[in-house]
Amino acid sequence: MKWSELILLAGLVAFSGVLQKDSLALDYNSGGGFGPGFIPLNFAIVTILLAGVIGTQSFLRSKARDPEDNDAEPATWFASLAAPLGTIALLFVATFFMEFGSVLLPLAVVTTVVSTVFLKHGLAKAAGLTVVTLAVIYAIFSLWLNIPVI
Amino acid sequence: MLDALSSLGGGFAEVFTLYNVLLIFAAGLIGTVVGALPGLGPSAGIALMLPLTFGMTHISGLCLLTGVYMGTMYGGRITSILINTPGDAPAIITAMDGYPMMQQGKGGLALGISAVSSFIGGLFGLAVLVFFAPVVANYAIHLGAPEYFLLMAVGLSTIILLAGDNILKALIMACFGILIGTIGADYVSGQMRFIYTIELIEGIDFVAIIIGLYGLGEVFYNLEKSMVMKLGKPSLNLREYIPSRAALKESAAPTVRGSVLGTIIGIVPGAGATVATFLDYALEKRLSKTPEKFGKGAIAGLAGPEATNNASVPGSLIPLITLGIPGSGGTAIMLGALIMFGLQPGPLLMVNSGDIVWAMIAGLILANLFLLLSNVLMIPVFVNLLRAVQSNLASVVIALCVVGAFSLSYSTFNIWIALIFGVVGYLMRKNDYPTGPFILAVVLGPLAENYFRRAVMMGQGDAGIFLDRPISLSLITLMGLILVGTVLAKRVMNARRRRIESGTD
Repeated sequence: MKWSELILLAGLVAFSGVLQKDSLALDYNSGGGFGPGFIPLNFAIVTILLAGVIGTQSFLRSKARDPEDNDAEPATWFASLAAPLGTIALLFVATFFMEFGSVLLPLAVVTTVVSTVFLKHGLAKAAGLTVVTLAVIYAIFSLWLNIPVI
Repeated sequence: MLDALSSLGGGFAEVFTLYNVLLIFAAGLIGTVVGALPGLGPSAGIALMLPLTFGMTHISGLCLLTGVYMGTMYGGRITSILINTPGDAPAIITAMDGYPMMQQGKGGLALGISAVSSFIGGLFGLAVLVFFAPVVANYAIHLGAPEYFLLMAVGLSTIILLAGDNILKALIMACFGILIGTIGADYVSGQMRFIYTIELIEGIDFVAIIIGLYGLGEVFYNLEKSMVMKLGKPSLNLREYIPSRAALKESAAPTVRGSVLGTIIGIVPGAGATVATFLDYALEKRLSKTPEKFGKGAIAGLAGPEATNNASVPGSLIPLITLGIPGSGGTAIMLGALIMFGLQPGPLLMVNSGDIVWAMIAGLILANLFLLLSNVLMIPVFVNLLRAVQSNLASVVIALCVVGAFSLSYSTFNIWIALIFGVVGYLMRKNDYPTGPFILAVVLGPLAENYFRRAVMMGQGDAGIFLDRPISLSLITLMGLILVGTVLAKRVMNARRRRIESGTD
C-alpha cells in the first residue's frame, strides 16, 4: 500500500471520527423528521467503514503484487517528492507570514524559490518572472477588481 | 421556438457591451491555453477564473466562466496534434489521427480542420440548448420538496459515472464531500454544526475548496512529475491553418455525426466528452470506407471526435440549467458558481433568472465564434504563449490560487483552506481517487439534505411521500436506470476503448 494513500485514508478517518463524535451532540430526530445530526453521523460512519474496506483491499493488493516494493517505498518516496513537499511546506510558512499584513511579499518569496529550486530557473529569470506575475495579478485584482491585495 | 429565439435575442442585448465582448474573447483565449496545458483541464480553468468574477455582474462572470469552459475544449487538441500530448482527457482521441497528420507535415491542416469541426459541434450543441432547455424547464417547474430531493439524488447517482475504475473510491470521496457540506449553519433547524472557528459559520467556501483541489493540487502533482513540453516553432503561414474545400468536404459528414452524438451524450449526466469521443471514433471507423487509414492521419478520425467533444459542452449544460443536475466535474463547478452568484439552480432557474441564463447562452455562442477565429488565425500566438507559460506554470498557478483564495474574504483563512484541499487534491490525484464525485457531493449534498429533511417533515416522518407522487416515482426509476444502465454501459465502453487502443476495432 502506498504511503500517500495511507495518509489520505488516515486523514479521512480522523476527520470523520471528529465529526462523528461531535454529531452525537446534535439532534438525530426532530419534529417528525430528521435532525441536524442525522446526515453527519451516518455519513461519518459510512466514511470510516469505506476507508477500512479500501485500505484493506489496497493493502492486500499491494502485498500480492510485490511485497519488496512496499517495504522500500518510504525511502524513495521522500527523495522523489522533494518538489511538491517543499512547495507545500513553503506555502504553509508563507501563509503564516501573510497574517502580518502583506500577501504579495511572502508570495513573491514562494514563487522565486519554487522557480529557482524546483523549476531550475536562474535567479534573475525567477525574480523577473515573479515580478511580472505579481504585477499582472496586482493589476487584475487590485486595480481592475478593487480587491485589496497588497 | 419563437419564444426561445426572442429570449436569446434578449440575451444578446445584455451581452453586447464592449466590456463583455472583450471579456468573452479573453476567456476563450485563456481557456484555450489552459486546455492545452497537460494537467490542467476545464475544472482547473474554471476554478482559477472564479475569483476574478467577484467584482463582475452575474452576466459578465458567467460569460467569463463559460467562455473559459468552451475554450478548454478547443485547447486540448493543440498539444494533442503538435506533440502527441493531450491537454485534457477528451483530446486523447484527437492525438490518434492528429499527431500522424503533424508527422506527415499536415499539422496546420489538422489544427484548422479540428477548429472548424469544434466550431460546428459547439454550434449544434448550442442550438439544441437554445431550443430544448426551455421545453425541459417548462415541464420541471411544478416540483415540490420530495421531487427536488430526488432530483439531487439523481445528480448524486451520477457519481457512479464519474467513478473511474473503482466505485468504492468514488463513494468515499462522495461521503467526504457530503460531510464537508454539513459544516456550518444547518439550513432547516438553524443549529450550528462543527463550527470550530467563527469563519466556518457559513460553511467552507466552495471556491476555496476547488482552488485547492484543482489549482494547488494539480501544481503539486505536476511538480512531482516534472512535465515538460517541447513545442517546436510554429509556422506563421496562415494558409497552412485554413482547410481546403476538399478537406472540408471530407470532414463534413463526420462533423455532423459527431455533433449529434456529442450533444446527446453530453445531455446524459456523467457520460461526458471523453466517453463521447471514444464512441464517435469507433462509429467513424466502422462507417469509413477506408478504416485502415484510422490512426495514420484520417481526417474523419480527427473531425468527428473534435465535433463530439465540443458539442458535449452545451449538451451537458441542458440538465444543469433545467434540472440543476451537473453531470461532470466542470458542470459541478459551474453549478457551484451559479449558487455563489445567488442564483437557485434547478427547474426555476430559467423562470426566475431567465435573463441571466439567456445572456450566458448568448455569451457561449459568441465565445464559440471567437474561438473558431482565434483557433484558426492565432495558432502561432497560442503555441508561443504555451511555451512561455509551461516552463513557469507552477509559479503562475500558485500565485493565482493564493491571491484568488485571499480575495474570497480578504483574509488568510481561505488560503489555509485552499492549502489543505491542495494537499488533499494532490493525495487524491496520486492515488487515483476521483475528484468529480467529491465536488458533486460538496455542491449537491447540502441541497439534497435540505430537501430530504423538508420532504420527510412534509410526510410527517413517512418515507412514503417519495413514492406517492408520479413524478417522484419517475425520478426514482430514472435513478435506478442511471445506476444499472451505466454500470452495463461502462463495461461495454471499456471493452470498446481497449479495442480501439489496441487497434483491433
